[in-house]
Amino acid sequence: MANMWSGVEKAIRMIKKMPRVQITNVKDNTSKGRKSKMRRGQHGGDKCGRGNKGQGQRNNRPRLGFEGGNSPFYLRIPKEPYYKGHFLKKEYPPFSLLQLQRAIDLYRIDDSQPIDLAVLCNTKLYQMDVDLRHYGVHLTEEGFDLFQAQINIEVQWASEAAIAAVESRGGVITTRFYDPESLRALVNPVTFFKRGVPIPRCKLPPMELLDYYSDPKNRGYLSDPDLIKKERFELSQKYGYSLPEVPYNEMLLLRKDPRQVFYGLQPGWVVNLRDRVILKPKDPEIKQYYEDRLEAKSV
Amino acid sequence: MFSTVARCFLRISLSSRGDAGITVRKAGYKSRYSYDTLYPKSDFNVTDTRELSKEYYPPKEPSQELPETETQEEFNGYIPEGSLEFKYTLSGGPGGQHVNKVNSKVQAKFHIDSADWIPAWIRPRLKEMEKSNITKDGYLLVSSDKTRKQYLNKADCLERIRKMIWTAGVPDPPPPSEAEIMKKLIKQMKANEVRIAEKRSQSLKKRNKASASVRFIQKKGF
Repeated sequence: MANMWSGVEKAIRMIKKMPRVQITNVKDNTSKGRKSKMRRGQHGGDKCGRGNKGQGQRNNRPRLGFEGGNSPFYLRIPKEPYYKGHFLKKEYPPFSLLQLQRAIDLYRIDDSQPIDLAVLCNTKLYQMDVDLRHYGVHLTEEGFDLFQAQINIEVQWASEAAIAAVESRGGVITTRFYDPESLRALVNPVTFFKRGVPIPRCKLPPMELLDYYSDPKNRGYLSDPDLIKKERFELSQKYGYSLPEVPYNEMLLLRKDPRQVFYGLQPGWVVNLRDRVILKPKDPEIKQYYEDRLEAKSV
Repeated sequence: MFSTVARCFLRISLSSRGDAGITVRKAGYKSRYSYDTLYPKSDFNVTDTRELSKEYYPPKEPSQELPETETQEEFNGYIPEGSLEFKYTLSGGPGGQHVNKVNSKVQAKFHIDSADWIPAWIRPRLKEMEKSNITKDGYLLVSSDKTRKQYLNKADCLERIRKMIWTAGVPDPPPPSEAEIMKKLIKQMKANEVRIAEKRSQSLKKRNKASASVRFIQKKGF
């Protein structure tokens, strides 16, 4: 639908909803804006940084990319179909079972606590950059034979053999989506807490990933736990191992809520590391946003 | 808007090893997408394996059991643990140090006659089908060195055993009913009529091509 209102009309509509201008909600514009020093004084005046004669001084330069007549670079290089949309694709830098086992053996990861992306990034053995469209960790099966630990691990992508390796040792693996804002918080929690910003509530996966995270075969966090149980059994039949009898262990069954980013912390909280204090929102509207509960509607 | 709390809501304690052991209250944070809301009837304990193998391999009640050779029940693909013996050996072929040192070849072995997990009517058929892979003692041997990894070769062995049992376990087609037999007969008779009519027409064509004298001879029956 085309924009029905002009800029002025939009502004008027906005102003109608805003609170009245009062002494309490008016402040100086401290960023005064860069004052151009061009055309003033000994150093900004005379030719004003444009040089002598020619295209440069006379505002007659050709378009960006023009190379004087020969075929320009941006037209010479052919398009390759395998690069199409490369700048939009999501990447999952891998982390192998071998690396994981090594980290656990060297006490760099505690296997008696749930392992998630924050734990992996804190070890500094695994790095990822959210700005490069990295959407999380991909657990690969290299080191299948050497893997021994019983862990509760949460990754963003897992191959079938990696899932088999974790489950055959009595562990639990879940695949889980985080949006970039939540990822930034997870990848470096200390830096995030120092910003003094409330913990974000994690968004649900986009359409192209919804199928992946709802599939029990991938141990997706949005799939039915009963179907996951069934898939665990079928995978054990496929690879020829027996699922070990695991006594009820709360640590292994600990899972974050789909809106939760950190274990034990809720969206909306502000963690103050210096004073060792957590601030929780009191305003009902904000609380409702962060808690995101299905309220029983009163008729 | 925000309220400061004197003590943390959540105890972040430092254990003797120096890492944070987080203790979590059972109630916890629950949004509209929590597991209780999405799947209220599902059992959250995914590590509980007690009921699963019973579903796939229900224990047989002796009172209700029919003689096994009469029913043609399908093989459901379940292979109980301990029913196959595995042997891990060196693979052959190229591959340098890896193939020389690592036991990536997998051999699976089981005794067909004492395999309860295969329906009884399939066992003799399987023996017949896989004659060349069965030892004198009645053990079926399946080996695989398809991939570089032992666990993938093991999976390949299991896959092949299941495939063998399924091919051997194709049920006999049911005997044809009277209506079906009748239908088939009628079809055969019609086809025969068409064939004879065609034959006659062809014969007539050939006769008409022949010369007058030949036709005369044929007519008079000399």
